[in-house]
Amino acid sequence: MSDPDATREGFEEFVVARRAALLRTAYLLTGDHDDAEDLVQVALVKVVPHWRKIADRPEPYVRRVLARESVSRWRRRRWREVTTAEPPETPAGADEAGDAAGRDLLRAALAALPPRQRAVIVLRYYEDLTERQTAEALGIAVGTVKSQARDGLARLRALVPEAEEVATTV
Amino acid sequence: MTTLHDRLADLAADADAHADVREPVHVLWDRGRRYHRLRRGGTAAIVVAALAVVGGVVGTAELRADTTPAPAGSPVGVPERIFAPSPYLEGTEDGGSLGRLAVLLSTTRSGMWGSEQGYVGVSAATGEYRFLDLPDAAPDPGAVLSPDGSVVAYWTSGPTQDTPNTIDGEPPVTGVALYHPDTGDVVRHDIATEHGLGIETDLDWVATDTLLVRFTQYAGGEGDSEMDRSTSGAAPTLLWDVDEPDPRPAESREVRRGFWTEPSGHAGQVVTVHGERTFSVVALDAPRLPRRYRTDQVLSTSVSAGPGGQWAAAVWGGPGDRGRNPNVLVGAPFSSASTLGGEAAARIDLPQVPGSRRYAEVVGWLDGSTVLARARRGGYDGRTVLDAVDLRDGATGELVVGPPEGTGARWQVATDLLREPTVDAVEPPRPMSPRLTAGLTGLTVLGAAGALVLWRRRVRP
Repeated sequence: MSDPDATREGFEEFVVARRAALLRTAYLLTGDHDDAEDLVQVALVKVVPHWRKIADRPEPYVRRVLARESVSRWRRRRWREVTTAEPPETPAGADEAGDAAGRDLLRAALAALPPRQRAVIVLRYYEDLTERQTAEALGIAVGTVKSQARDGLARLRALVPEAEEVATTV
Repeated sequence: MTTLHDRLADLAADADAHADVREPVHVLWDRGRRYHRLRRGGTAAIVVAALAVVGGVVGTAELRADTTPAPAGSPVGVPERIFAPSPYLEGTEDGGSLGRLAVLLSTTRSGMWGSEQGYVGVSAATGEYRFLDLPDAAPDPGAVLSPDGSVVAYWTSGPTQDTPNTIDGEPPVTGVALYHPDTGDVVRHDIATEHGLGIETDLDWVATDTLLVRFTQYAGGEGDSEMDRSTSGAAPTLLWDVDEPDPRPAESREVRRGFWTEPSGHAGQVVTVHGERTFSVVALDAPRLPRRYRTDQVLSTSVSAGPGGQWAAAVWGGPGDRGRNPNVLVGAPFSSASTLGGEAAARIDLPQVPGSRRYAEVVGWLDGSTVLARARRGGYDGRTVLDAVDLRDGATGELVVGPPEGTGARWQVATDLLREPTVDAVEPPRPMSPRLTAGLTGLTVLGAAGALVLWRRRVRP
C-alpha cells in the first residue's frame, strides 16, 4: 500500500505542473474563463479518489474526466444557456485587432458547436489525440468520433469564413 | 500557413491571461476526499435502503406463507370450516406429505409461469393445507378422496399405442393412479389405449377401499376424421381394491347394462340407472342379484342407497309452492317398496324429508338412515355446507361449512371421519404471488440502481 502523504504529494505536483495546460483545454471546451476554471477544479477533485491507481500516468484519465464533465455539465445547464449559430461580427482594424477578432470568431464558432462535437474538435485538433484516444476519452465509438469531427469541421468552415485553410491544413 | 491546431492554441492561450486559481492545491485534495466519502456514503445509504425494501417484501412473503398447524395432540378429524385456499400454497414436493386427508379441494394452482387445475389436501392431523403434487396427472385429473382419507385416485396421461386424441394440445388420459398422502407413494395402472380414454364419468369410491373406474375408448386420434375423434366406444368397467396392484373387471352384467352407475353410500354397492324411472341396486359381493326399482317421482339426482341397502334417498326435482324447485330431500326404506311380482321392478315412493330445502346432492351416509347432503345457503356468494339429515324425522345438523361457490373451490370430505366430531379449523396461509414478489424486488432493484446513477451524476464535488 502506498504512502498517503506521497500520494497526496504526487497529486499536488501534478496539479502545479499541469493546471495551466488543463485550463487551456477547458477554456476551449467551455468558451468561458470562469467555467473553464470551475471545470478544471471539478475534474481534479473527481480524480482524487482514483489517484492511487492513476498516479503513474494520470494525464489520460484527467483529460477523460475533463472532457466528459464538460459534456455532462452542458446537459445539466442547457436549459439556461442560449447558444447561437451566428458568430459575432468581425471587427475591422489593425492586425492586433484583427487577431483578437479572429480569436473571438473562432471562440464563437466553437461555442456554436454541440458540446460533444466541440470536445471532439478540441481533443483531436488541439490535444492531437488519435481517433481511438478521443473515442476512449469521451466514451464513444471511433465511428462517432469520425462523423463528429467531419461535421464539426464543416461547421467551423461555415462559421469562420476566412478560415478556409482550416479545411486544407487539418 | 495557420493550422487549426495553431488557431486553437492561440485561442487557448487566452486562458493564461485570465488564470485565476480559486482553490489552493491542498484544498483540492481535501475536497476530493470529502467528495469520495460523500459518494461512498450515499451509495451505501441507497443500497441499504433498497436491501431493506427487498427484505421487507421477501419477509412479508415468507410471513404470509407461514403455516400455523394445529397443536400437537389435537384430535384427528374433519375441520368444522373449510377455507378457500390461496393459489400460491406450497406443494407436497416442497412441504412434504400431509398424512391422512380430511378434505380434498379442487381449485386453481398458480405459480410464476401460469395457472393450472390443482388439488389442495387438508391434513386430518394438523389441518394444514398443501397442493398435492400428483405425478403424471392428466390436465383434468378428476381426483377423488377415499372415504377414510387415505387415498386420492386420479386420471393420468401417458403415451398411446396410436395417434393421441388431443384437445387443445393437451395429452389424453391413458390410466388411473392411487396417491397415498401419508407416504406420497403412487401406484399407477396404465390402460392400453390406441388414442386415449374418454372420461365422461368421475372416478368413484364404491367402498372405503374400492374404486370404480369407468371410461370409454376414443375411436380416432390426430389425423383421423372428426367423427372418429369425437366418438368413443364402450370399455370394461373396472374395480380397484387399493390393496391390489391392479384393478379387475366389474363382474355384474347389471352394471354393464345400465345407462350409468353411481356408487352409493361407500358401502360396497352401486346404483345403476336404466331409464328415467328405473334403477337397480347392486351389491358388489352379490353382483348377480340386483334389486330393481321403479319410481314415478321427478328426481334431480340419482337415488343413493344407504349402508346395508336399508334406505334410499335423493333430491326431489319437482316444482314447489311457487313453481320453484325447492330441492327437498326425499327418502324411504327400501322395505316400503311394493313388489309387483315376477321380474318387474318394485315400485318405491320417496316422501319428502320435513324441513329439508336447498340441497344439491347426497354425498354419503353417516349411518343406515342418516344422509350427508350438500346444500348452498345465502345465494351465489353464500356458504356451501355439509349437513347430516336423519331421513326418519328430518333432524339436521350442520357438520362442515365450506367456502362460497363464488371462490371456485370444490371440496370433498373424508366421510368416514365424520363419524367423529369435527375439529377446530386452522386457517391456511395466504402466500404472496411469486410474480408480485419478484416484480416488487425487481422494481426496487431497478429503482435503486436508477437512483444511484442519478445521484452519483448529480452530486457535486
